[in-house]
Amino acid sequence: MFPKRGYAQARKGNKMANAQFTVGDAWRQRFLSGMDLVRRFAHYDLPRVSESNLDLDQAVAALNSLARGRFQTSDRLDERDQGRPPAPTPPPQIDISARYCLFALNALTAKGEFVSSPTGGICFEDPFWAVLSAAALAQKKATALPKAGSNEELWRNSSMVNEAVRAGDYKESSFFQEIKGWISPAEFPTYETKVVRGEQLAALRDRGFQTLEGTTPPRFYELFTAPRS
Amino acid sequence: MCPTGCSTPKPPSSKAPITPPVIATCAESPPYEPAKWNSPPVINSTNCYAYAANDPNGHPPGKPQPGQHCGHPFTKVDCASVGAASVCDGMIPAPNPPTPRPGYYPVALVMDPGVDYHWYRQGNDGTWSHKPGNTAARNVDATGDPITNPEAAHRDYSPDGPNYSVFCGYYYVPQAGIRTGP
Repeated sequence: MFPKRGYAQARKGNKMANAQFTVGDAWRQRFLSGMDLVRRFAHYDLPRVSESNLDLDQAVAALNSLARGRFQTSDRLDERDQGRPPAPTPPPQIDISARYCLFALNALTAKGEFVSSPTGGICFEDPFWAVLSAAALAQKKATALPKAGSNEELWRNSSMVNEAVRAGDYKESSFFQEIKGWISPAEFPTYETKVVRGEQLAALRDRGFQTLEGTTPPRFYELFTAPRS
Repeated sequence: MCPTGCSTPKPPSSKAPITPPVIATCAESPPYEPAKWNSPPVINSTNCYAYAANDPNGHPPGKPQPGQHCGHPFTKVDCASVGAASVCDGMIPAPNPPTPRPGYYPVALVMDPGVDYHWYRQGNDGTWSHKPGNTAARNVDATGDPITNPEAAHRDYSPDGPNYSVFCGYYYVPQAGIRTGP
């Protein structure tokens, strides 16, 4: 079972131990809010999991299933089935000495191709954006990198996604930048969890990209990119 | 004093220093050959480090990393760690400005601390060129100007890329190049 208080379960040599999402317990709510929006605009028959039962392995499996198109279409859901919309939230405070859990996607971006360091892909601090990126990939749209001018704007944009979906004019390209493929030798999208130090997450938030330690050599990741006119 | 095959261009006036300073040219440096580097599979399997090391062939898709070949890759994105890893692979620290060294050509290491490193190499015409990541080799800086001195070149690619604001220093590479990557 997933431990209480938002802490990631210990696994793979305790790498995930004592790491939590910056939104703490609310990660499940953020994740399921994204899933509910996807159901609404894509009409997918996604796995239905109650908030109290959602664990990290299920979340990663759902992201990969969604991004790789392994879902079943269904009739449009009734209005009463819609979940709670994502609540507007400012960026959570970060303790630079703490360890945080992120979702990571093995996407090759333009910046990732340009830099000299090995490329890690895209990080998602907010589970909501991980779900929406997987849904964009499921639509066969090569878009997965959140567009935002700043970290604050990235968090604010989740409510704009909600408004766009409910207004029926949601477009992936409005909220996600194109990617160039998958980091070699991968041939399909893979989501996984990644643990970073608070200090590194703060740097990642600051510019939207950062090389994260934890592997040798360190790898380059992106969190968001400024929209291009 | 330049070794055989190398020459230091004279400034236009002995009293007027050149800004930025022109660094000695060396016939022992590799020529600028973008066609050799900018086609698959080389373009997708090399980066600035392989380019600086003049090591285009035989790499898997990706980016050879400093210290990877000698078994001690860099652990931090800073001048000390990347520089040490490159020396482990066979580069030799050089003075600033680099004086001509027979059998070697100069390369330069720059840094966006915590974000990314980058290398430039001097060609046999005295100008410098580079290959950002898996993109094309080029002989111009971030603003499109020819590179006569990597320390003075524009190295800010933001917001579309890193800002290599820190100049770490020069290194020598054997004329035959060094092997990089796994």
